[in-house]
Amino acid sequence: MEQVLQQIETYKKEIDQWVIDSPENLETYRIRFLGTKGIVKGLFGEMKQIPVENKKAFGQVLNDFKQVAEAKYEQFKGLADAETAPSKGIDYTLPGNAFSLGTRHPLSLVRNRIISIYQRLGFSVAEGPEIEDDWHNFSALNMPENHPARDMQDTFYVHTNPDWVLRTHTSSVQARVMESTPLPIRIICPGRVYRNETVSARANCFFHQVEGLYVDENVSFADLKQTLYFFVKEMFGEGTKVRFRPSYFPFTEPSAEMDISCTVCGGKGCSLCKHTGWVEILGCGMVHPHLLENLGIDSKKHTGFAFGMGVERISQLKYVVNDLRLYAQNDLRFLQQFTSEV
Amino acid sequence: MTISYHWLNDYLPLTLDPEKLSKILTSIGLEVETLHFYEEVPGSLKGLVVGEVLDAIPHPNADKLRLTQVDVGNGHPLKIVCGAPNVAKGQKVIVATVGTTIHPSQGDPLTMKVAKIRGEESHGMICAEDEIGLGSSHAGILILPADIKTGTPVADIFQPYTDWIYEIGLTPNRMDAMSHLGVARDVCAWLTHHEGQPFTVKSPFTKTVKPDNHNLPISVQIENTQACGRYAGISLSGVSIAESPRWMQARLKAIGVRPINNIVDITNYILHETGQPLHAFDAEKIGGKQVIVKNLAEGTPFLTLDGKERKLSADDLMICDADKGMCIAGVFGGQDSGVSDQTKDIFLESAWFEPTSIRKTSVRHGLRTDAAVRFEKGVDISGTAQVLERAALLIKETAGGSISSDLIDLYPHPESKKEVTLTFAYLTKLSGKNYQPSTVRHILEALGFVTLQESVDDICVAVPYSKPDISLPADLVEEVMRIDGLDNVEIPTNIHITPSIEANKSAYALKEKLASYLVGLGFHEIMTNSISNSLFFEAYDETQKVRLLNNLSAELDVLRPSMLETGLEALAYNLNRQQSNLRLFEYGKTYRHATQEKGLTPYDEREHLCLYLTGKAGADSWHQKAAELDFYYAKGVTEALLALCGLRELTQQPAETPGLATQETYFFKKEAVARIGQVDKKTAGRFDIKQNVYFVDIEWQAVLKLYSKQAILYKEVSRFPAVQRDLAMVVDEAIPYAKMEEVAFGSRLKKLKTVALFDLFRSDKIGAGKKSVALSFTFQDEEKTMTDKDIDQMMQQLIKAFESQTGAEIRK
Repeated sequence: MEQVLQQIETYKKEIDQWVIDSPENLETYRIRFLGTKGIVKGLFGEMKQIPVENKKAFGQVLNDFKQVAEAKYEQFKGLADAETAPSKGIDYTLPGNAFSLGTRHPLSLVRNRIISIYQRLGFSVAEGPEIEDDWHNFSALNMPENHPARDMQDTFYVHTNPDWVLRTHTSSVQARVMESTPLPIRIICPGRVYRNETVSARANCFFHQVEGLYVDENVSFADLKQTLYFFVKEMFGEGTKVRFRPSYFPFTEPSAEMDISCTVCGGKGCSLCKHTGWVEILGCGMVHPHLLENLGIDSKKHTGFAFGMGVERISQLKYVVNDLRLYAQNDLRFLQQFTSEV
Repeated sequence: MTISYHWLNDYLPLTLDPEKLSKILTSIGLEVETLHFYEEVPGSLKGLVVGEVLDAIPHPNADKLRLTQVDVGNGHPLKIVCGAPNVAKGQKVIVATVGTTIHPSQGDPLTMKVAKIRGEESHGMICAEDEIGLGSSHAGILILPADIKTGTPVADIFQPYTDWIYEIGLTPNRMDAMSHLGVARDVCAWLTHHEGQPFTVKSPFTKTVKPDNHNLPISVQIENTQACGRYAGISLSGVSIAESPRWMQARLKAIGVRPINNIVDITNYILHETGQPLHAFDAEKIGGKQVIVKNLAEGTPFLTLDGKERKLSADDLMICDADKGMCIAGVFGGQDSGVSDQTKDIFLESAWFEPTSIRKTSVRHGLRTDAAVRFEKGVDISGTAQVLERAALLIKETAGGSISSDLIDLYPHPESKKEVTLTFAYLTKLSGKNYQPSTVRHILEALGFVTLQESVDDICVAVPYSKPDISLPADLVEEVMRIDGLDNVEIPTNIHITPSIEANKSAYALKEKLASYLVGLGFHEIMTNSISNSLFFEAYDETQKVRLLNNLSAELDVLRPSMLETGLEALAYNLNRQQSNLRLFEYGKTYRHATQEKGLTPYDEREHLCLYLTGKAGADSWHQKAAELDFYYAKGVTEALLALCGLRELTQQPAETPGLATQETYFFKKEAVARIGQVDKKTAGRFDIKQNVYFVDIEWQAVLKLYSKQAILYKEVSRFPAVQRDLAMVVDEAIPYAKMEEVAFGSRLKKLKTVALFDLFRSDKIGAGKKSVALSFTFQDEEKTMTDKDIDQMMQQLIKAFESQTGAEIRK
């Protein structure tokens, strides 16, 4: 038995040193060790000669050996199917298959980014019609007939008396939600809006907004600042500076506009920020008590904040797109610049 | 609104740096859009000096030029070539020495260099007024009085006005700040709060008016006291119409107001000082020496200052004399009653008109004058008389004459101030900041509010007349917050969220999923204008079109009833720019009038996902050819998109809609979900597109509704192998492929799972009017492994069915 064990050690060394580098080689190895007349089989044949008391120990040794022999084969068996053709003569520098790269429209990318940031803060998406009645676009929003604030917006009419307009802001969606949804409300309203403006590099007759609304008990301006601050840092980066300044919107009181440090010059002053170091990004404020009451909410008990931003504006700040008309032109050479954006 | 720094400083108790003032203004809600340095004379004559012409001799090489020696006071006379005909020895002139930049009245600035003119060196220039921005004359050089000392800086002589000018983006609620005085009041409130000591404006209303005589009494009567709440007037006689003083002209010019004459300039000056519009009448033209504030009959003609005759509405408030209208109250003057160069006596008006009435009149006549805009926002009714006093005194001071009547002040129904109570709890709740009650009081009082009552819980204040916009506690919250500074509200460290349930959960996510798939295939997303050209849509039902009543242009006059045309515009745009292989998609809406039903909106907005295909799916390469974009490509993509929404096993029917030559509508359980077609030649031609274009229109609402009905339940995967068998047969051309599937599944073989077409061809061998169809069938038994015999039996059944129902001839 001693002799057999020694023999096994020799075989192990042989296996260890055997270089397998071709299918032929692999096959020789298989036949020598693992074939039906191979060494492993042969050694198992020796079993019957082993005294009973040693059978268990010998069996162990044999099994180990078998595993070693098989392991080497498993490692290299892929060689058996390998292409035998020589790798020479192939030009690996030829171009790979050409996959076309599609693109999302930059306004979709920006809108989605805005939505995803607010969704992380528990806002849900609400949408509404673009052809809107006077109540939801104006009157309910604290802009009754003859209100000077209606001057601020040039409105497209599709019907008069009763008035139907192309919504001038997505605030109309806020009105619809407040009217129909139990509190608390925490929504963002993305959508297309219209203004009767001559088309130029700086104005288009349609553009896109995302507005937000949060109404509950004890919602404060400090909460509003916090939400918008979070948004700005997520959208434009940690180092972005923010300032709030008092403003006026019929829908909010107090009202404010938020500026951020210029996205191009970082605050040093350039043509984008008109050398002020600040660029305007959105309007916001505490929902006007009239508006809450108009929509059936007790303004003594509930408060809320609202904000609204232009998707084109955010895109302009993010990508420095200086002509609004590019968005509706759909020039592939423009769209393809956003291929790698998420 | 334009504000001058120097002018503002007249009313501020201390001088602030222009930049610091700018920051304060923005922080209190008077946003400084631009701040720029204003120079009445560009360059302000900087560097120019007075010189004395020591000698002037003819230029040896030019008849019209002279060689001069000019002393500029430094003991080194300069040699200057001068072309002016009037230059002569002994004159005092303006000299631009080498290195000085001059700013001509027209053209770009110019920096002086040593020049050689016709062979003679010239060290500077003797200037004409147009060369240095002092005027337009180029008749010759400007000659100064002889007593001016040589070497004096020219700027010291002319003292051109300079200023800092603030362009303020004034919000419509801030009528109280529509003047220099109003802005100063706000700045003082900021100073009081932030500097911790009271600051008040320096009032221009220091003197009261005393009539010099009573030579020109004019009676005033208000008939319509609803529209005219207060009316004050005073007459002056013997004034001389002339230019207003230089300082006043300079200030007016600095804020962009063109000086006219002393009377008009003073009314403008007072307007920008106090915010109160004034009107000056030629007193001689006031018939019966009577002023009556009333409405005239509908349709009364009236000749306004611009020379136009307008038809008055019975709602237009007029300032009339005994016989006729003289002025559209608060909006626009009449041509016959205004101040002219011949005017000697004037009647000066200061009034308060009701905002809505003014707004309606102003809009009705398209007269958006500065006065109208201010009246409709609401001027300070408490200031009517004192502003008039100030104006009368200023006129007397600058235009001479005497005050020839008592000051008439009719204020029929004085309104008491509004009272508003602010609870501190509400202030904290809305702002998120704890303001000290004393801080609140100080800020409000600095802004002109009067404290009526104060307790530990609240403060009750009377609102100044200058702030008609304030009526609610929330308005007071804004006043306190803006003076304290919005940036001084601290951001909480913990975020407070009450999430709300999303109404339409899957809609947004599903859209994104399909968009990502399309982008993965190589499609580009586009966004087109939903306002389009009605000429594109002549084939659509006119009664359903949603037209704009106030369209921008003929090309943008209707909301699109179809997504096809705006997409074709995008295709055409790119085709014209050497992009011939295009796959575009858009999520968009179409619009139409809905059948009127009670309680429903009369408009129907439908969402679509549309695909626009032309050319190939990418570019050909050495290794593979790109697929042609054809009907089957469009159909395949559509089926894939619908499958991603769980909609499989569609049925189809030929359709007919405008713009498409051949088209099919696809249904899922009888609901139309998509339409695919080839754009017809005429429609494509309208956009100058010559290639074949395929269009897919997916009805998004229908898809979404069907999608939301789906629920995925796991079904056990069969443990037994599936078997595939092929069958080729020849059938008549007239048999559509759908019929083949129908026959296969119509055979009611439970184990037949799928049928696929893997080959289709026609050949001479098969014969004309015939085609070879090769189908692949997959069988699956859930309970056992099928035997060859089982499968053969099923195949026999299928063969029989094809033979009998389609006349198929099986190919062996």
